Amino acid sequence: MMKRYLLALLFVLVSQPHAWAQNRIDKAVEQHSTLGSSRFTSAVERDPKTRAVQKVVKVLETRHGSKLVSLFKEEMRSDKYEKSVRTNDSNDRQMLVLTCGSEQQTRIYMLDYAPSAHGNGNVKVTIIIKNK
Amino acid sequence: MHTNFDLNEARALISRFYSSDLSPAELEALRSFLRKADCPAVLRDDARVILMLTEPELDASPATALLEEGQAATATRSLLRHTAQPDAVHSDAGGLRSATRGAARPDSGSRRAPRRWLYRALGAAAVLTGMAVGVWGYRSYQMQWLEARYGGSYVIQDGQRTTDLRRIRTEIEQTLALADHQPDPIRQAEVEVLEAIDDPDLRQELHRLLNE
Repeated sequence: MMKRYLLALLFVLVSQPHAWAQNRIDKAVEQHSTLGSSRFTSAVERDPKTRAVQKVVKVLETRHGSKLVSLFKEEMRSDKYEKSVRTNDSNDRQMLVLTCGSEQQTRIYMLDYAPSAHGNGNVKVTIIIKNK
Repeated sequence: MHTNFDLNEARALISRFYSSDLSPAELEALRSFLRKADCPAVLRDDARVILMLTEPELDASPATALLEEGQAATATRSLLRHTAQPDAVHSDAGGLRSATRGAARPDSGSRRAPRRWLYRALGAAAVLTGMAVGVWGYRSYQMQWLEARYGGSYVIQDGQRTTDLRRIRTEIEQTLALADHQPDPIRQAEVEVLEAIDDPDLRQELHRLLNE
């Protein structure tokens, strides 16, 4: 009985890597939001008539984002998400974009950082959650 | 002129005295009547006033102080200090009567002042209350409007959390605008797939299926 339960749990976890990526990045952003020298904004857009959530945008700006950069790079190696890299040569900054979605929701994770700066410089993480 | 008046005649003469309507002869007759020892008691106050008013020499007491003390008759004499002549008394008697009456009630005018201030204070309080209610109503409406659109939003700066939507409204709107400028990659992928199809009917059918 216990074996079946564990196997079922393992199956669910393995089949939901998107959930893993969402949880890890979301948790990391939440932890960094309460640190000093950081600014975190969580903006919720609702339908004024029904008050249903239409969109959530979270932005974290921090000087201590090296762990966030490592986390994003780990997820970028996985081929289970749509990803893109945008490079801005003028200011030597790079943006990593992770996208995943379902029938109900689209989630976009963006990381803006300086690859060559010590500690990756000022790091900005943007999370966009759009409900369909 | 005789001086044996009955009570009604005396009262009529006294009333005419206060209306400045007595001839010198009538005044003298009235004074003689009022000086008598058997002058009716009910007329003694008027007798005192009229005799004092018509005396050739008056006291020099200041009228104001006497009025405050409620000594009507003496206050009236002070007002006539340098005009104690029968003719002057005759012409000023009408004013003296009202002055005497005013002296008997020295505080009648001052009662109106507190009421005026009270009305002004009440009016000012009503205006202030109305303004406070108006400001409170506007702020309540504004908060409801913001809660309906951005309820649940907040900002954390250096560990300090702010949930007052009025204070962070600008930042919320700017942050939401970021998402509007980001292309939806799923929609973009759909558009790329559809544009790759040459057959318009097939493209339309696929578009319908994707958006069901």
